[in-house]
Amino acid sequence: MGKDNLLEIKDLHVSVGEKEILHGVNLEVGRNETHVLMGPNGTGKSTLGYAITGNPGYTVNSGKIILDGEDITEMSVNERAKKGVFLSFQNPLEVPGVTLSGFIRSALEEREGRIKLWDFIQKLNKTMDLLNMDRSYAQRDLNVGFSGGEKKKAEILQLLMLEPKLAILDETDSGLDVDAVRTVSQGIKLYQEQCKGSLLIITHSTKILEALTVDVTHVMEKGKIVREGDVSLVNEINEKGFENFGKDAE
Amino acid sequence: MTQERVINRMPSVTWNFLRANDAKIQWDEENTKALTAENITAGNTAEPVKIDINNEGSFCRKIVNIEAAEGQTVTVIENMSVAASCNMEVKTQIKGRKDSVIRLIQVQKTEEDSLLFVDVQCDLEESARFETVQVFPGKGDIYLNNQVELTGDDSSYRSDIGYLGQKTQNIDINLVVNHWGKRTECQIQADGALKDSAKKTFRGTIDLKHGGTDAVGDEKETVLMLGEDVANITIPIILCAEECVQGNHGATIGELDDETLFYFESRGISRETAEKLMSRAAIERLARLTGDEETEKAILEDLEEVL
Ligand SMILES: Nc1ncnc2c1ncn2[C@@H]1O[C@H](COP(=O)(O)OP(=O)(O)OP(=O)(O)O)[C@@H](O)[C@H]1O
Ligand SMILES: [Mg+2]
Repeated sequence: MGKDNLLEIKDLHVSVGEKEILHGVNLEVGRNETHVLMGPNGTGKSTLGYAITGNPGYTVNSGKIILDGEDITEMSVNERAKKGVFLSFQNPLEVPGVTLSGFIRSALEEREGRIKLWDFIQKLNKTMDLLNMDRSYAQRDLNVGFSGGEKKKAEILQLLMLEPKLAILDETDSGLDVDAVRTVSQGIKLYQEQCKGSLLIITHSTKILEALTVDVTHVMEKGKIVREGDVSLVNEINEKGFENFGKDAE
Repeated sequence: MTQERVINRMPSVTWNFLRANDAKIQWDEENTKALTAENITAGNTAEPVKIDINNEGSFCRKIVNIEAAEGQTVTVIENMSVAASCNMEVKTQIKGRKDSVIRLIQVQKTEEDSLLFVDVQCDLEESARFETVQVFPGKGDIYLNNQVELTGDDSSYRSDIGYLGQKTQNIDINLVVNHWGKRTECQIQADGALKDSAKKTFRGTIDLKHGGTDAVGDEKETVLMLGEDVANITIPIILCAEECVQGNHGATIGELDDETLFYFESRGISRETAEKLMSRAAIERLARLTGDEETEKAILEDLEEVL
């Protein structure tokens, strides 16, 4: 281990059913660093997010996922979450019958035991205000009837409440209007600063990155990381598209 | 001797293949003990009127009469408990005069193999309002029949029902709201969770009668199916005799499928906790809705006990 990494992914091969989607992904994320993962549709970005989180639908054929020096490749989804892995879903699920507030609270309680209700509500309200979310949403069923943008905000609310070590944000910016992107971007910044967490941001746009300091950009194509660089890579992709990178992969 | 008794009958028997037009229970009418009837008149007290109704013997019946005079408001809380292997019927008859508001809160605590038949009959005059909060966390079978006559113009009804069905429990709900008056409104929300091989039947009839112009009826259901063997039957019926009326029905079925479970687990919530969370949800919401601290606490304690 050269530097003090929070996340190390080594030669990861992942398949869904019979089909291999990730063909040997290598990626390192340092502590309190912000990484961006870009790449054309269908290359396996979400798949990587699911694999790190431990979705049982995604089989790791070979390779390793190491968090905080510990091999988590075989760990259950649950345990990983408790160790500090968080995924902001590209398409957050609707869960009728469970309120947003109840969901977050029980996630906290599973980790820390019983929490003080008063403190919880204070923090929840404060965070919702920060994200320009109407407080009444806390008592609504999780994501049920939320607009696309509201669902994404609810994910960031969970991020700020749960304070994980590693946050994987899967297209959290898609479907957000200009103001909402700014708000969410501020929320992510707050996570970066206050929780000293590491970020892996999967995105197709640059707007969400504006308020953030990006350390490394990874480009994925056809299930492999084909290029890495600093933030200038993001701009380069925006100008030229992904075409050029594909050739480097061969 | 017990005989078959038909209850919870839908007013419009439209189809029969589900065999859910009514419910049949075994009842011993001859040996039914009549519990002391209660008569409650609104205006006696500003505090909610609390009645504890406990079964006596194998079969018993309690009658509660509530009348709210013009412009009066009354809240009645009925705490019903039935011991194992016992059967109880609680019949609450309500008359709401002009501009009155009646809130009826019914909480059930029953043991296994018991039967509770909750029968609510209400008639409202002009601009009167009726609200029910019916909470069923108990272990026994529950039959609920709410029959509301929105007779006066601008009268309204709000129904909140929450249940938790476990093991072999049978939950059978029949709601009939007749909109006779103009601009009458009703809103029904029935939420619950079913585990193991519990069964729930919901019949919701909103009858927007001839002459009841501009009436609005709305019924919503959320059912969480948390077991392979649970059974859920929903029969919403909205009858419209008038053209300028509105009737809506919406049902949401939730379950802990692989994707939903992954979402929970990705936040560190185990399957066990996820199921518990989902089962509690409806009852918890209603506990808060009772607006009575003592009742709320009692419901949450019951919930701890049954789950
Ligand atoms: N659960 C699944 N079942 C079947 N195929 C899947 C599944 N998940 C991913 N795939 C396939 O794997 C490939 C990569 O999908 P993935 O969602 O990871 O792409 P992505 O890079 O996130 O794309 P996008 O930018 O559109 O979100 C696609 O071909 C997709 O169809
Ligand atoms: Mg994706």
